[in-house]
Amino acid sequence: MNLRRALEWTTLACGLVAITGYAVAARDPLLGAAGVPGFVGAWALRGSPIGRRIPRIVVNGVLLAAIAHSAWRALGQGVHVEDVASLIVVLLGLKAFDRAGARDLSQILALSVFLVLASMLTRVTLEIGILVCAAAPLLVLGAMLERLCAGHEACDRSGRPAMMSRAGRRDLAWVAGLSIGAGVVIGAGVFVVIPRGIGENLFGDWRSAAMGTQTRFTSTVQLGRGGLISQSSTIVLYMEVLESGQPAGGPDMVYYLRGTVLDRYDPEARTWTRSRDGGTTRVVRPDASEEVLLAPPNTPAGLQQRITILNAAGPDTPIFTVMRPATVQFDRGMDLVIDADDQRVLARNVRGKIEYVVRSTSTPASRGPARGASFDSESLRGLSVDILRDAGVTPEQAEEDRSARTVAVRAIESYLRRTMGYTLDIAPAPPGRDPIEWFVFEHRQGHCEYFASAMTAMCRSVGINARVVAGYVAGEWNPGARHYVVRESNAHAWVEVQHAEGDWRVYDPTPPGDLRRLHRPAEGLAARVRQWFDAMSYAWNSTIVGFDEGTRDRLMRREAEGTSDWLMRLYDLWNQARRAGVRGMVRALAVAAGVFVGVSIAGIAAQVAAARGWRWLVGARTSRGSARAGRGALATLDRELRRARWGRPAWRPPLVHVRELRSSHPEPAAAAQRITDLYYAARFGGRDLTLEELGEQLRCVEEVRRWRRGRRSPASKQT
Amino acid sequence: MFGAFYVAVSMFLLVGALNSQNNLLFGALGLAIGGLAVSGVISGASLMGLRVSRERPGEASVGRPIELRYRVVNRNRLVPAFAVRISEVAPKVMTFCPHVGCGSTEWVSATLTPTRRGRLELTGVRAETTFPFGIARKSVTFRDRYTILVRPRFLELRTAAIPPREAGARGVMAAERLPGQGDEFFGLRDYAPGDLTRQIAWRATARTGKLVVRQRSAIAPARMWVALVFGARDRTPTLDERAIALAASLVREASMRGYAVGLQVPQTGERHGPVTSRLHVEAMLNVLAAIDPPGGGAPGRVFATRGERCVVITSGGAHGVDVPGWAQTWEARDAERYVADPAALSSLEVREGRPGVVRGALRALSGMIQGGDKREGAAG
Repeated sequence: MNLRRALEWTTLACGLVAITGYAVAARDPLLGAAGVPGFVGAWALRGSPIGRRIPRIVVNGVLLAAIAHSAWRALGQGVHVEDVASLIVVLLGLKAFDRAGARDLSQILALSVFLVLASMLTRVTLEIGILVCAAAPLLVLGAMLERLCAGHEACDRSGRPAMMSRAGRRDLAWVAGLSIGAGVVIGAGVFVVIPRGIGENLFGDWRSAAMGTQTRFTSTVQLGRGGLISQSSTIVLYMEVLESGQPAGGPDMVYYLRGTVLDRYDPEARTWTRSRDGGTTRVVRPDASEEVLLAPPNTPAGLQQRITILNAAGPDTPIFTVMRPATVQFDRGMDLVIDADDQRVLARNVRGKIEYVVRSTSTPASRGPARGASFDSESLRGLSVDILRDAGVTPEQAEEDRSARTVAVRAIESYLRRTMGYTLDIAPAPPGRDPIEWFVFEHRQGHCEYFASAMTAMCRSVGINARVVAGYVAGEWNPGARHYVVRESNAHAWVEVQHAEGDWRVYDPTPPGDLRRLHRPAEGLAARVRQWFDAMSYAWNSTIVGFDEGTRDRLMRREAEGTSDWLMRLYDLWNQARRAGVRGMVRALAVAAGVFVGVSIAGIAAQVAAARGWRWLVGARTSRGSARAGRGALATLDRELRRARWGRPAWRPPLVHVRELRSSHPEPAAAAQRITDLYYAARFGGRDLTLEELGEQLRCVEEVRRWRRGRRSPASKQT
Repeated sequence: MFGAFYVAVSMFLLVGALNSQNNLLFGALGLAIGGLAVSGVISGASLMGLRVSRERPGEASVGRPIELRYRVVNRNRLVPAFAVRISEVAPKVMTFCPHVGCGSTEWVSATLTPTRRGRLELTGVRAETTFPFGIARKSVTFRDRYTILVRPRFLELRTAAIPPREAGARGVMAAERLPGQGDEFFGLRDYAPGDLTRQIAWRATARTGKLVVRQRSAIAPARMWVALVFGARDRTPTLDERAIALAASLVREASMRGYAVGLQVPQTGERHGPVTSRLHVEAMLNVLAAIDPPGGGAPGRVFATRGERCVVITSGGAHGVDVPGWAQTWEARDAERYVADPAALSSLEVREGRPGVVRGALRALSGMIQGGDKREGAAG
């Protein structure tokens, strides 16, 4: 294997992965479209005749210009990740063109590392996780190859390429695998052990990495505009549902997630907004895992939702809940704006992921009669009165009586569902014309916002208090992850009608067939693949990205409980020390040092014991192998001959020695010859000796021993 | 460089992860720490079972590269060794072994070009590696002392400068009083199995009644004395080195031309008689390699028999030394007259002095940064 070539390919792959990954992270297709071909082109240009003719001063000039431009931007706008990343992409291209030795390739690797880090700082989605997983082995391999090539270049000036044998390649793969495996295991340990929450914003507020695309959920509904409603499949949130503690939900269940409640219509602006006259808004800042009450205490809660909003953005993020939320509990402390009237919750100044649990109740808290309402449109009132009359209810009855109100509301809902058409691509309303009236009486086609607005207006025109609710429909069930996936295209508007004070009920005038069609998850292979990807993405977000101090605490506690009490105590001590300040820290560090010394001594002892055990094992195996190879008999023969003063010098092969023995001492020569022959057969013949052959060897050894003793005895007698 | 970069990136990851609480950065930090640990363990483990020994190099002379061969054995059963840089503790010689598999042996070689004659001490062999990530540099030194005797630089002499063999009255290609392969008759002896038939002296055989063969005398080569004299007049170390290099070159050249060459240094008492043996020539060259020029002007005498060639090479004249009248005298100062390539003489310049303060300090600092060896072992 040509190591230099391997390093070049690995470096090229690293650069490509890094640039592509950053383009994905920054959602910058232009960067990807320009950066990847630019990098490959610069790489290819280096070897071409045109590239060789470009003077170095041009390269240095471009480099200087890129650095100066970035510095200028940094001075004007501050240092931003995207600016640094753009500079790195330019540097990668220049370096790819200007590469000469292993040192240059190592610089490309280093730049790739920085670009991968920039991707991590920009986004923490599954795609970036996959990018890191792809880049890490390449970087490890690249670093190893760089070491080999750099060493070769430093020592060999002949210009010959560094080569590696097939065995070397195999060993390199083994060491690379070992390094990656061990690195991942240690890295996972470090990831879990490092405490979270320490040093946050120590060096200023760095921009939080996004978990997904920021959604454009607005807290108003503006009618009259034309155009297509967003069909973006960007995931907004995940929702797990539990009912009475058991996992609930499924492909046939649909949940309405309230985002904002709009109760005031401005005919001039053609917009539904929130009225500010409630006076029930409060701002709270609960601690992590503290339950915030949205309903009176002791309200029975049946449906529990665990919701993960992927990427909160803006000053106020709606906290989506299923109707009649009773409590909400967040994974971290944050400022909340809560409206007790309509149980709308906003998270203030939060960016990135928000994870929370909502407990909703099915029991309305009825505290008195419903309030009356009105809507300033004679035509709508006339139509509503007609509808009510057809249903056998008068507006007065609907205003006064609860059951009559239900009938009336159902009649209006049914009328809209039956007579209006659903479309996503609506034409703009004519100027000067109220869009609700235009929708109901002329155009008769619209999307959910028009339906909800029309129903609210019609209910109000006959004195029934109603309001528009904007949020999402959770209908896409992911069976693998057992949760709902809510996308941007699942945005919806519906109606809540007041039946009594504190008792608001949900109605949806949008034709159900159209609603199902619109929010039905896509089918086919691509949709299935996307579903799998979503499931993986959810797992990624909930385990890796969502790993926080609470998760760490639970995990460590469970591990500590699973192992022993002292570990648990140690962990508690650490937490106490963190709370106690410097003195506690010093004490904890002293204890940790003691533990470290103890563990080190134990480790060394274990290592020594393991080494001895290994030696014993290997030694035993060698001796067994020696026995099979007949080496023991040969050693005995050597010993006997040495005692007979006919020792074999170390440099002389056994067979040669036996041949010489034959001329001077023919008596033991035959036996010695047999022992040696068997040894050679085992040693070089590639086979083990049989039991019979081993026995024969022993007999021959015995024969030589007898000869030696017999030879010695007369001599001793003579003396 | 690579290690510093790695540490800097790890520090950035630590700060970035703590500041932003970004779990991907925490993960990357974990991987970086894992890489650090793995790097230390693998580079240490790969050197653990490594044994490096040096093969004894052959003869060496100034300016002529010699090959130092190293045997690298990896006794480790689990971790192969990669990117092992093998170098001498002193002088600076370096080679690279990209891979030594578990339980296998590799041979690598480095080239050393001696720059001055004399004893060149090789104290030990060092194996070091920064594999896999260049973060940790681990090294092991094997003590393996060996002294190479570096002979003087061999200069190509002008043909005209070397005394011709045919000139002179005595000794040139004379018959030796020994039996050999020459042309002249030496004597008769009894036939022995293996003698050629054409060597049989038929008349003598007929006369004596037993097989008798003719013997021829051995060839006696021309004899030449090379005398090295260190004078007192305007001597410099460079002139001494020139004289020694001229003497070594003449000894070698004359020996290659068939002379029986002898060497004498009257002022040190060194005297090797003219013999044609290769070992003898090497012994003389070794004398010249190790010679320490004595103080100038010491009395002495150059011994030579009339008819033998005698070349006296002097550095600073031969005053006070008794030189035979027929001897040629080569003055080191005029070395250009005797060598074919006078430019080669510039390499014999002897520069004296120490490195400057800055350079010395930098060298010391570099030594400190490199650090000591982690382990020392004996060459296996």
